[in-house]
Amino acid sequence: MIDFYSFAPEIFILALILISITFGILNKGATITINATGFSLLTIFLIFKGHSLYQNTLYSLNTINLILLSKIILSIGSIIFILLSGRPLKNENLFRYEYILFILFAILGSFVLISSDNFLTAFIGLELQSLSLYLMAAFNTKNLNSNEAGIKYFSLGALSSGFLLFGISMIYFDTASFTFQNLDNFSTISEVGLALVLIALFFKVSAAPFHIWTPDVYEGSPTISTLFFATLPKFASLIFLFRIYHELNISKIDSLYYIFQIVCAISLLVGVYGAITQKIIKRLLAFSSINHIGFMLLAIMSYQYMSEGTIFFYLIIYLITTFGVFSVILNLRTSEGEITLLTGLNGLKASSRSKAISMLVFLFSLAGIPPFAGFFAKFFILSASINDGFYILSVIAVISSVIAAFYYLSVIKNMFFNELETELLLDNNKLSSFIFISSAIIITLFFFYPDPLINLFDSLF
Amino acid sequence: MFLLGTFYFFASFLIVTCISVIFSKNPVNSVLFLVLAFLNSTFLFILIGAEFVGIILAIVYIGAVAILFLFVVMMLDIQITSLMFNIKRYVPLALLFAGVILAEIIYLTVFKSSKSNISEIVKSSNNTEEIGNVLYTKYFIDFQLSGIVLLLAMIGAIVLTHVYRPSIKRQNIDKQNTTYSKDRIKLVETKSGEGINYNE
Repeated sequence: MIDFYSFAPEIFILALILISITFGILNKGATITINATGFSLLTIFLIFKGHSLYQNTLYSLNTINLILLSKIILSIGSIIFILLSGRPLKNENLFRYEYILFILFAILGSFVLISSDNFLTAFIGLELQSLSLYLMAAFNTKNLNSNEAGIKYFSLGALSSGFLLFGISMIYFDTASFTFQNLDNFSTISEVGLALVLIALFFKVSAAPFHIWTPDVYEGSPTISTLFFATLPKFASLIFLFRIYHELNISKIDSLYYIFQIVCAISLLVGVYGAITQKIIKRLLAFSSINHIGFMLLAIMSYQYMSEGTIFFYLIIYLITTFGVFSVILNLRTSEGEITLLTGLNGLKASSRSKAISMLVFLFSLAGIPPFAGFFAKFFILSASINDGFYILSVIAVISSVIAAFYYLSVIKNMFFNELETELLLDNNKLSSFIFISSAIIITLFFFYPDPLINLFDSLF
Repeated sequence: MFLLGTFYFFASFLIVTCISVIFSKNPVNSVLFLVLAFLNSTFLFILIGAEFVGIILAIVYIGAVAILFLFVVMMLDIQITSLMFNIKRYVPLALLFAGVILAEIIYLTVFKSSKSNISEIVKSSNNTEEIGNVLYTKYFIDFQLSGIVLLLAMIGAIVLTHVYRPSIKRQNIDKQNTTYSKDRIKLVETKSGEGINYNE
């Protein structure tokens, strides 16, 4: 008998999708309201009744907390993203209600992925998620760059899905089962299969030797889609990667452990060296996200020293900062359209002080400069990893964040000390202003009032 | 012995057709070889007793996908020479990858012969019945989720290919339902022998 109750959030999102398909034809704007309300209800349900969902499953309490917390973060993130997505799409003449449907499908896939207990469900969840991402990349069908991004993302993503399926079939050949639990005594075939599964997951989170698609896709897609790629699906895939690492005890299998460490080191280095010469904002952010993925892999490897809290802490700060950075960029428009080049940020201080100061806070936080939350995120990871004995990786991480500070600071120099080149339109989008100002406040205030977040992790893990 | 002979016949035939798919100069020939390759793999599946998967492969891949390919290839005007031009550049890379995978297979089969647990599942007498038993019970959620993936694919295909052109006249059902006949039709009294002046 299938326990349908544990699938209640997924069924709820499916119901939202079907309702939006029907109502979207009649009234495009209504889909945003319906889905934002729906996700708020879902968040409330998950916060108060979430534990009853997984009572009949075999998950440990820690895993249930992990799944619930990530689902709550995902649904809060989707409320913000759904509300935010309307205006930029309208600015580009792209607003069609199908975009909201793609967001819902991607979130549904992420939910399925996070709480899956076997490789088959995880594969379908990942496919659902990435298919909608390909569509969001190619959403601007009249723009050649967007089409190119969609095709690149699709063909490389299909390749990685092939790797994933091949790996899963090898594991199935060996153990005759898809579940994570049955993988106690490994044979070599399962090991090779798991390596292929890991490669596919590294591709999805854009870790370094598998990152080739990231800058092109980030650059070509509509900016609002880029924000989505950088945040919610990546978060879900990372949580799933953590669950695989944790539940299959990958630290006990030498070959896979080395793969993890090498990927982590290469991500840290490629992320910074790629970013130095970039002249386009979105490519810079793409490489910076690769660098951050390196930090997150380091956190996944050394989670035992502190708790899952370090990973979540880094991820939450990263999500808040990325949402902030992109809502500033979405708000900056010239008469020719969006700003793409870094020089477009020249003299931002003169035209909009609040945007420039928020951007300064975000970039300092991404670089890990002390009073801001990003510093503490990096600090916790580094102290955990040094205590766990990852000396070389910690040194690489520190060196990479020193180099990263160079290009973050050069952006700040552009904003504060260069002359204004192009006149910016004052696009007064209240919602995205609210988002970047509140993210900046959260990131600054964390230094003075860190208790809520830390208490939350203490009580959960 | 007969079974082994048939297996080697179909397997080698499959490899030959796969090579022909890549190396034939005409894309239409490639697709036809692809159909042949699918057919051979169907036979391979039937040989190991997986008749359901074999038949599905024949129906879906040959009956639908390959024929669709054939239509697309016949309609596109592809410059064959430009496609063949770049192939030599990739030979070393391809050999490298093929070598790595070959080495892996040899390592796994020769040095680390592992016993698979899968044989009991495959050997059951009626393949179709076995799939039917688990598809709607054990894998019900996955089955439904694949349905959702197909729904997404459908919506996505429409979004990517549908171009809204204002110049095309469309049926607007809302507008049709909210108009009255008096807005569209003008009833005029005509006197015999005079006709009506249209411009009035």
